[in-house]
Amino acid sequence: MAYRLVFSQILPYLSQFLEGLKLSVYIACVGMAVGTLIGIICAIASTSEVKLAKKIVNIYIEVFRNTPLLIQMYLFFFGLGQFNIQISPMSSAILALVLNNGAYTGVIFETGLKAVDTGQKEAANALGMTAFQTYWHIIIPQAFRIVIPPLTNQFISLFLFSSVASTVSVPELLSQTLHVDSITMRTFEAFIITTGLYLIVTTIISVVSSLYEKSFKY
Amino acid sequence: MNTNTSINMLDWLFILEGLGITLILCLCSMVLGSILGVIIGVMRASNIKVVNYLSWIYVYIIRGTPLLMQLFLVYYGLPILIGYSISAFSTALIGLTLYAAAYLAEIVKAGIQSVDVGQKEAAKALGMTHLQEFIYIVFPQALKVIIPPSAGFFIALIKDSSLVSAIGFMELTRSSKLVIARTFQPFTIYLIVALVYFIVCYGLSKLSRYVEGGLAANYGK
Amino acid sequence: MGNNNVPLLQVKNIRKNFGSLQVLDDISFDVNKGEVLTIIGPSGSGKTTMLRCINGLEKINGGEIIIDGEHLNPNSKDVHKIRENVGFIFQRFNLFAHLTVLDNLTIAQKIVKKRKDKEAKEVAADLLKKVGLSDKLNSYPSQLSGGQQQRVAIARSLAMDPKLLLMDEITSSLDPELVNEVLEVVKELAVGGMTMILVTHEMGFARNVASRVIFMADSKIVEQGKPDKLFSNPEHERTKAFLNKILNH
Repeated sequence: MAYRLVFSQILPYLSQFLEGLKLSVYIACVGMAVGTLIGIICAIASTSEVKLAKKIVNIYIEVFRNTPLLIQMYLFFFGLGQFNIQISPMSSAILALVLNNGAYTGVIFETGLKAVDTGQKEAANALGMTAFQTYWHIIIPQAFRIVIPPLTNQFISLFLFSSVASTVSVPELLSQTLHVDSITMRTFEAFIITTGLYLIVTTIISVVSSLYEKSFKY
Repeated sequence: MNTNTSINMLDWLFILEGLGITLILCLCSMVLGSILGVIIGVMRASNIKVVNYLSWIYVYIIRGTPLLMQLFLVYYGLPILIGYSISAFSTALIGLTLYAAAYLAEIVKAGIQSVDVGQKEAAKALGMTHLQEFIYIVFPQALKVIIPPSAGFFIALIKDSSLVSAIGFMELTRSSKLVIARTFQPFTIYLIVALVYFIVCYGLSKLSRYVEGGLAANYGK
Repeated sequence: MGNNNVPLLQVKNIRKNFGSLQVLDDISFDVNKGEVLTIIGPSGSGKTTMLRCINGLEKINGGEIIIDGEHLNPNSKDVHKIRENVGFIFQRFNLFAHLTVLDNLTIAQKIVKKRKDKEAKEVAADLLKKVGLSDKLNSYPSQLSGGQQQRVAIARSLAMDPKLLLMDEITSSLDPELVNEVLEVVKELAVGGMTMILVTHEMGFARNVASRVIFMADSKIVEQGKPDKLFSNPEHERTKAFLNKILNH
């Protein structure tokens, strides 16, 4: 079956691809920023002695890690309609992504804190530091470097899964791709451009993160 | 016209059927994806530059782009390439298999590379060929490192399979959409669907952790 | 506090179990100011556990520990205050990996003893000179050899002006040629009058520097006494057997 790549028919629509990309990046950044905050709160709660806080955080994390992002978005966008509440596609998508991401980063931070060598804690204790001082001065700074690789992977995953927002009609990159495809019928050209755009962003994220991690003196 | 919009037995059966289809789809993709994943993973661990590079490109592209995009590409693009249309099941299966293969390949590669160099050297010293060394010494030990994260990936695949509803395949998520169209209770239905996914995924995680714990005890590690 | 008639450390009938395993069985001894006590014995005899109980890193299941007249209660929220008087040197150094040598020495001074930055730095520089590492002030632990790291660890504990120093097999993780530089530092501390308890395998060192030796086996104290006597003329069979094995291999 002969198929000739004719990019000239796609090029006029390039700006639409870029608009979609901008939106994908925006959604991912908001999702990461707020989600990371939630994750930090979860990690703090899980290291505290308050049993109720630990339980609530645990339930939140298990629920959002064991259900699909798609269903989470549908619950916000379509589900709330059952109670006559309508929230916009963007808000539904971002809400779902934030809550989903928060659960995953929560686990990353919890694991990161535990991964710091226990000897460091013992040395801090032996020098007379309180638990709070130990966490603040010794454990958290070292956990910071440890969490960079998994957080990077999470960010990349988040960026790629921002495409799910297309199912609730958010005009991000994948949505634009399908739109341009339906107009021009140049399927492969459109998807090649989109593949390229996704790859460029994920590669940049990986490289920057790697450089940042290497800049640590310890 | 039937104005009864409450959820009835047929709806439950329909949703359960969707669950069954989801599980079958995921199992098939996992099996096919594992076979392909082992092949690509071995290529990734290879010292032959061309082989390594080709497999790297495959993994790089699949892992650097969204699953949903890959599904749509197969859905729209494959019929153009081969000249006739393919079923929704085949589309879903192909998309998920290619996706799984890329992720499993990296797990396999890491597993192979985790085997102590000394093991390989001992095998060589005993006169084994490269292939024998791989089949009898390297791969069995690599399996120990490969299985836990693969189990985790399978659980993630079950969640990710919800995306095939977007290309029209009638699995759990898509079935629920039809029930909603009839009952107008999106929140209730999606909550039930979420619960079904939760029970399956959480259950499988607990099960795999239990099995891992048992295996670790047996091997005395 | 400074009553010279009361021992600096009193350990009375302490017991400790890990589950059903008894690790310390009715251990009692005193340490006076200025004494250097070494504890020797086979692996698993409970020596390290006992040391860790003295500064509250492990909780005892029975008995009492009294440091400078104050009872040690590892369950109290203020347990960290005891540690201002008792220093602990670890087998694996445990230097803070993300801080320079200088910061390792000053951080506890500033946040625990609340010293001003200038004073903390002066104390640090002084101690680094004493252990012979002044030129490593701005290095990171990963850039130092094992022996250098352990000397920094000793300086770090000394910066807190402890009354008692506990040392848990501090040369066991070091390459043989690096052991001496650490033992030299400990010897100087002994000469300077620091009260110390060392768990060690270095028999020659135990014999030459200690003012008293305790031999522990099977979670009990078997024998204790002056090093010359214990090493050349032990009373118990168990002690004899242990020393034979160690000194003749």
